[in-house]
Amino acid sequence: MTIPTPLAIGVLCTLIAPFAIVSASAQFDDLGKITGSVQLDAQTYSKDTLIGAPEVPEKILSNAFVNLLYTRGKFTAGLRFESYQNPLLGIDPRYASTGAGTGIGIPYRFFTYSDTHFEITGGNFYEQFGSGMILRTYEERNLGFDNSIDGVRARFMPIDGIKLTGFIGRQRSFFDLSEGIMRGADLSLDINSIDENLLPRDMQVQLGGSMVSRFQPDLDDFLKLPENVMAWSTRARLGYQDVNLDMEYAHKINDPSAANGQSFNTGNAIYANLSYARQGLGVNLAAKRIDNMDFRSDRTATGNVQTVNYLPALTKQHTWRLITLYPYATQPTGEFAVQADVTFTIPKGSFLGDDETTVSLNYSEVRALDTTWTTDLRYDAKFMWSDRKYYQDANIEIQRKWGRKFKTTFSFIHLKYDQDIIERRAAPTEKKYGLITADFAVLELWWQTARGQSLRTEFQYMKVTHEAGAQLALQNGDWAMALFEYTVSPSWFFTVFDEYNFGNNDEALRVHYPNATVAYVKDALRLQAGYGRVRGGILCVGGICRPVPASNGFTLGLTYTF
Amino acid sequence: MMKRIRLPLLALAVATLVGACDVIDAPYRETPVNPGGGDSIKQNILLEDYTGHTCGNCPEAATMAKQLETTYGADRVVIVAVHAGPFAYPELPDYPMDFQTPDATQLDNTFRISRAGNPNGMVNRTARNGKVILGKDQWSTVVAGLLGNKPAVDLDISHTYNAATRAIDITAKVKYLVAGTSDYQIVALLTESKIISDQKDYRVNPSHVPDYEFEHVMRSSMNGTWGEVLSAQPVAAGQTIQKTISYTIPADKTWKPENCSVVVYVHRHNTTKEVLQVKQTKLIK
Repeated sequence: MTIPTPLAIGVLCTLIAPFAIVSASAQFDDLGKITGSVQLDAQTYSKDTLIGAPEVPEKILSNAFVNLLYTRGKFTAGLRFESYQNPLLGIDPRYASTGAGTGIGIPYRFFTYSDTHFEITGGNFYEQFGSGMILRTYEERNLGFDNSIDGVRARFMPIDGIKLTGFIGRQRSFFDLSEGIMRGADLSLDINSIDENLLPRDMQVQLGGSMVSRFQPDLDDFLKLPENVMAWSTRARLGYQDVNLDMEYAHKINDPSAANGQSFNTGNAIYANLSYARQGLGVNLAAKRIDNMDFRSDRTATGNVQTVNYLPALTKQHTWRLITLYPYATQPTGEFAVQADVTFTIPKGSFLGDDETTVSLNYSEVRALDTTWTTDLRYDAKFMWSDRKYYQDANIEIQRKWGRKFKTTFSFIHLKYDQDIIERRAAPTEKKYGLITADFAVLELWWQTARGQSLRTEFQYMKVTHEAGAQLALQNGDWAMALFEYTVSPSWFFTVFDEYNFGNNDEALRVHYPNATVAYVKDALRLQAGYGRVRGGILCVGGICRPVPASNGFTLGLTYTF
Repeated sequence: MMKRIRLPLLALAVATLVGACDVIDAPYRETPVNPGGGDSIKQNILLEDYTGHTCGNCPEAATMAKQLETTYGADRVVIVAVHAGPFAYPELPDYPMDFQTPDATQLDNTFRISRAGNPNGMVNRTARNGKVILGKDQWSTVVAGLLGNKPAVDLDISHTYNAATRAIDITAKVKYLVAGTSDYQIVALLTESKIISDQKDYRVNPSHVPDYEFEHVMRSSMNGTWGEVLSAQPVAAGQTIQKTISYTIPADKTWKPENCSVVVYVHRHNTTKEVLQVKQTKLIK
């Protein structure tokens, strides 16, 4: 096991333990402060042959996290204890088999010393350069994702508006570290902060440039692989009055990998976002083109692991439950995307009456690049997009208050989703699921029923059609859903909902997926218990498919912060 | 003023440091050398390819395994295709065949391969960066690295096959080249190739391939999933332990003996689970 080293834990625990006792028993502020949080998620699993929920030998699976943070003056230290006994279904099972193989460890620990002009961190850190197109490390524990870097990071801030960051380290890979060594540097300039008289009034300019490089030995016998792979990017944010323009360009040298089909092409990405905002109106126009920008700390990694960069999504992330069946995932190997987003408020006292109405309109479209493979290791890509549509989404959301005790939200979404490509479930030119068209509508109602009590309901409906030639047996068909949530402030939350797949092509699968939860909140404690039958699916990322099985069972959740 | 000069210099220094990059020009391919080629006793490799007939990305992994077998020889790289997990379930009407076996499922449950996804595999069950489960793109690197190692044991196998009774009798001699512990176990498997059946293959359109040729399909273990203990006591270097393994192909099995191979391997069952040595031979020579 490489992290955490027993010595490091020992040192950290010795450092923290006395303070923990002191801080709990008395207020000796000069000894620093301990804060933290606890999270536990557990679920029982019952076999449900109808929906394909498998038998889980352990019967109960759980994920648990404990964060501790110690601060004293300019010094900060922290750690995160993680336990997977065994990982919940849908979370990568390698959390149970890597490191010591027990699913228990402290994969995240750090200290930081921070001064006015200087900051240094040793241990794990999260970092993002610009929009993240060549570097973004973050944690998303509910997806089982954490790509923090374990190493050293230093920042210099010689004067206001100038920040230089450099780091070197290795990326976390479950309870181990990745094979590649990552190095990077970033320079950020905020012209207005450097000298406020340099630019005309009402103008803001921020500039930046960064580089990230990976070293990984070439042990492959068949290909001449680059051991040092560098990516660089340059960015600018220009603001004038209510208008902002963000631009970034990134480039990566040849980086044949499992994710890009061992292509020796260089990679590049360009991204631009123009926004306008004033009272009651916001407009956003964005475009990006990505070609071969999958960047990982291990060239052999596949699936959603050991990614170094993050390619911003130019599609609206929907949270209504039924439409989350068709979530778009950026295709790092190549895509062209555009998005337009307009939000405006119809003020009080207009033709619509005494209350405010907010309207959001959003459109996005993503297409494949026009590429031709010239050899099995190289391809030509035209700048413009091809006819192959990956995703298209046109949606509207209207929120309206009716006095103080009643609120409504209505949303309609019309989207097209190429399941074959996005989930890589078919040969490149084959039609299996085909382009799916989903028409979705939701009405959300919220009432204040009594002082401190409210009822929220959601009624969702989704009509799903497949393009001609798609295989009939694979079609889920139409869905409906109803949700009721009753809140008794500040402590009790009751939720029940049911998803009903009434349009399934297979009559036996026209089943209900009921869920019920009760949550209790008291100060910093949140306890949640529930029962649910959850629809299953296959999660495919980069050509590795992992069944995320349907499940049927009870859940227990606990969070506590201190 | 000093600061204004120092900063660009610093940036330049960092840029030089970070900017290391290796641009590769065509040709991108190279010819592999056969590691360990000159040694008299060689480290052979057991490449376990966890697969399933409805896994459309799996044939690409089988091709990769085949390429390694062709490059280094079937005596050095021994492939076993383990059909287990949801992608190996029969799916009517297109994928009626059931290649699953209790041994394959037990291996899959123990190493949790299908939960991690298919295709995936193991190379002598050794870990790379702490992970035993290896994607197909990692196989060639790990195989090449292990082929040059000095093996811990030498394995010599001979067998007889009685076509009338379908009885197989294997004699295996395990020579300890370095001292060994009591966790060494020996396993004998039967694999079958040249099986024509349905496979999903995303490289072709339509992806349903009715006449796909399956190779190295694990049919059964002949002495239990984990085999049998070689010696209950530690064994000194230089010593040889002989085992006989007997198995009869069940009457209800339609396996074609002429397409079958015997695979024998020694592994450390209760400790590192690592495979120490492997040998393969045709059932009918």
